[in-house]
Amino acid sequence: MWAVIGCGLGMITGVLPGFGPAAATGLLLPFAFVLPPAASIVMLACIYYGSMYGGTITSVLLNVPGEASSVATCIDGYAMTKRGMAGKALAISAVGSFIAGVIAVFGLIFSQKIAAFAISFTYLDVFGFSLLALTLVVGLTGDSMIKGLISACLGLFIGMVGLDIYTGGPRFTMGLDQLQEGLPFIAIIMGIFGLSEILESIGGKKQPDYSGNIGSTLLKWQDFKDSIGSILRGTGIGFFFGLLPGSPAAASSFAAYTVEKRVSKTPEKFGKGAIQGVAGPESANNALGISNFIPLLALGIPSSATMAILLAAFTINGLTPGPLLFTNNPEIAWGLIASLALANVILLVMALPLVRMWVSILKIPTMILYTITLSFMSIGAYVIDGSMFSVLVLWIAGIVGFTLRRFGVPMAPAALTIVLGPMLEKSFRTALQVNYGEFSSLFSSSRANIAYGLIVVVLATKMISSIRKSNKVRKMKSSEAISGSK
Amino acid sequence: MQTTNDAPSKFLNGNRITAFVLLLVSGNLLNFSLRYGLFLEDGAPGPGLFPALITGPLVGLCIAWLIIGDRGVPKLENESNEIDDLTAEIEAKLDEIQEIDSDGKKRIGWVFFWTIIMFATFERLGSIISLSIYATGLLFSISNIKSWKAIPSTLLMILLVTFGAIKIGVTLPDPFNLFRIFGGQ
Amino acid sequence: MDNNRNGAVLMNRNKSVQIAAVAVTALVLSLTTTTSASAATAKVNGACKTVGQKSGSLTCTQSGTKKVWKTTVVPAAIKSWLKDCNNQLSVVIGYGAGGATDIWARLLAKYIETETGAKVNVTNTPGAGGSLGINKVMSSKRNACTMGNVNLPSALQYLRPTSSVTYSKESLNLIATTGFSANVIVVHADSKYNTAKDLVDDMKANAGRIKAGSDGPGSDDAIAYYDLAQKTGTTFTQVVTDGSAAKVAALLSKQIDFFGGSITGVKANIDNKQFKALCVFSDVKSKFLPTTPTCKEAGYDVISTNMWSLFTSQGTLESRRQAIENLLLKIAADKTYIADNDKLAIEVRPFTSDALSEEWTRQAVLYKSIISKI
Repeated sequence: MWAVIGCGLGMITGVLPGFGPAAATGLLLPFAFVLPPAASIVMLACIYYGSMYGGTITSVLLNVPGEASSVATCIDGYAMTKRGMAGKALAISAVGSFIAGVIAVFGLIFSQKIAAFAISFTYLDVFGFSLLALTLVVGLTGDSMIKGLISACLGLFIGMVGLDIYTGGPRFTMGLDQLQEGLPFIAIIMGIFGLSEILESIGGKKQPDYSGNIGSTLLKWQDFKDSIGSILRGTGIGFFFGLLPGSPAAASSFAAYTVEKRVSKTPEKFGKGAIQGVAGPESANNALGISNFIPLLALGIPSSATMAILLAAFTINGLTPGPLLFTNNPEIAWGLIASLALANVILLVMALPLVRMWVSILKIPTMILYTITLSFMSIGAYVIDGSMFSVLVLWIAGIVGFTLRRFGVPMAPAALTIVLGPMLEKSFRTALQVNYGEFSSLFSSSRANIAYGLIVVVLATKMISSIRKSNKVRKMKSSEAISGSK
Repeated sequence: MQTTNDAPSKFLNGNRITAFVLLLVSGNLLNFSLRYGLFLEDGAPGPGLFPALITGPLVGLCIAWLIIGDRGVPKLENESNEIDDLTAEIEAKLDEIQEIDSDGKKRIGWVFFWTIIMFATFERLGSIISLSIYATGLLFSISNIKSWKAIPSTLLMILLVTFGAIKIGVTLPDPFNLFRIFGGQ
Repeated sequence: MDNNRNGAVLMNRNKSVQIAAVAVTALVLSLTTTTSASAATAKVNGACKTVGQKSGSLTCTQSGTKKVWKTTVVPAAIKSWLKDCNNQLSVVIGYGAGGATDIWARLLAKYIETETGAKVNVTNTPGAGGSLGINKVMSSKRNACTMGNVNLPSALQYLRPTSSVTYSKESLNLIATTGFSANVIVVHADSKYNTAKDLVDDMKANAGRIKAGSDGPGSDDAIAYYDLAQKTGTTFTQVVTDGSAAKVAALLSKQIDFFGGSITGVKANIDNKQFKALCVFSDVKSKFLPTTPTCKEAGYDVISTNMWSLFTSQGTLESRRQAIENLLLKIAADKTYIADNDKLAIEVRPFTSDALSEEWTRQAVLYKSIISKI
């Protein structure tokens, strides 16, 4: 029963834009305190699970990411909505998340062995993989590499604002106290994606109306066949990223998206409503959400803010996560794993029938829907830090995003680099500190070197395909010129 | 197969103006980055290194954009590029950047106006009153639907979610204790 | 034309029905939320068995021959406080979730909820050695609905010449202290160091090559490391990590050689045999690590402890602040609270606001010369 209530509460809170799993878990923690330890842990795990799916709903239907990791879903999820396939997008999210969850929960059984592997990642390794994740941005730049890279640089810069933890000094804070803790990422992401899209639609001559073409909410067998590869690949990517300490969830969903685009036989479909563009990132998200538990359960180390809150819940309930949890409190450890498996099923059972209800939101006249969305986004932004500052950031980001989009600057690269930037800098500077400031040590880790090698491959592939495209264009132009002169 | 190119436009276009503004901003940020210091006394990376590594190339990219202006990237029109069940009309809808006419600018203007009102009232009057004013104002300004049923039901939805959020513990401003008056804690 | 108008009316009616349907759904969802929240709370009331037993805003009281749930008697100043805050209090923690400060605060919040019946929302605003959280509370309304933690000696970072913090003791409205934990030097369980002397000897032999995990300039471990380095005549490299979990991970992966962390934060790792404790930065042994010597006993007179206190913004009514102080001291005297803290390896050492203020001044004088150099 507590699993069902947890999933329901999580889904409801996750729907509020800007209210991610960490906020939902933290807010609902007191509800769990009144329960016995086992039930409280189960409920919290399910809240966490449910809130991840709640974020997907707003991403697909409104292009408003519920949290940073939902941004990749927005790209093709919202495009599917525009094509009248919102129901399919939500359904494949639920199914993909379920399959990823089943596989990832199975991985939890081997927590201790996997945790030993996870802890072996050094700051240098994390730097290498962060840099590799950064190169994924080339897959998101769209038609104009220059504008795409501008977007990426802007995103990287946003992560630099705040206090420098190494020297304690402020950077780009303009003397404002609110900026000392950095810019609220989720407000910016909501702004550049959701708000800018809404402003563009409100200003457009013709407002979109998706109500007439909701489409089917059922998945066909062909849809499943088309997506299963993406789901499995996304699961692997998300599971791996979830083990890396401090790894932002958004990195795994973008990684899954970019991999899908690369391996697809029809990459031009991506960005226009490719079902794989939803299945991959959503599966990655869910797998990451579960593999995040491994460092917590096996070593007592929280690998994300949500896990840290769960650690607090464990501790206050008199439980000590770590190597002895499976020995001293096996009923808690295995109970948690079982409850995650159960939550997986419950979420699928709850989500699929509700798809029709969620999709019916699109029947609301567009301007009314926008009014409601703008109100919810303001609430969601306010909740981030309890002040109008985040709401202001939301609107400034929205205006900047709107302006840049009108001139063809894509926002997806910025959404990726906003979350990657801090991780990249921290891992770089800490890796150097660990290695006494020797820059040559950047090449001393075999894993990092593998990551550097993959970076070269990714960039080279992109460059070759750009050159080929330019050559094609040149040939076309010259043949047009010839046929024109005849 | 054909290639498409945008028609030549005037030199001072929106792209160049935006690129120029971005160039000024990024140049300023690069200046700050250098002042923060690229390296610390012991040779470790300083607080300005990463920002400089980002804003430096950003300056270069803005210059490139300034030069290119609004010259589009030539696209290849290829039948095999069409998605299986997409008609050209839908594909165009997905790709188009909508033109904003004077009515559209007015609507956006109204959105900003009511948003400023919301900013001014959210903490002073509370979230419930402020969002009610906001939603009503937006509906009257930007929506064609003036039905007496549509506006109350929209407000009801917003209010219910606000109550729900407060009930589960989200702290929203409520200086007049409306939440308690309407049966909250 | 009539058909068209009827059609338009029908379409508008359909749209309104749809909007109403969505609104009803929202109502159902919000009621479900309320119901399940109430169900979760109602579940706890159960049978009133022990006099003094608490449940929400009720206390189990003897009434004649029966024990019944009665509304807890709450002082008038507390009542007015809760009324002003709509029964929703906020505690802002200047450190990350899951850390020692966070755990102390969440446990205290639970007891404040039990005593007052209000909902206490604990949020984390980590960064800058806790000063970001302090700033947030300082700028909050003067009704004490928002409180925050202030840790000594971390809060003394305003003494650093290069510090950008904008507060001092006088700008904070101190309430009371309830938590205390000493810091302890820990190394990996496989480490070659078995005593503090082993570590110090290695620091002397390999100047600058031993790595210590740190929370950054101005943090309590930075103060302790400076003091240790001065008193032992050694130099070692400080690796700044992002929070206590990162320090634990860095030590587990052997990227650092040791760190000084609060006993609360590392007790679990010690119990799990992941770490070894070398010495405690205190003048008396910790009851939670009875076999670990103090660093003073080991020959290195360095004291490094954490005092966890609550404060609110200046300008709050003094009677209200005093009432909250009394409430916290009452909680601190509660045996169940002490027992719960013991499980978390937190010592309950209550300080009134006056005593806290005096201790603050004492520590500022004691650490000023160190803090001004780091």
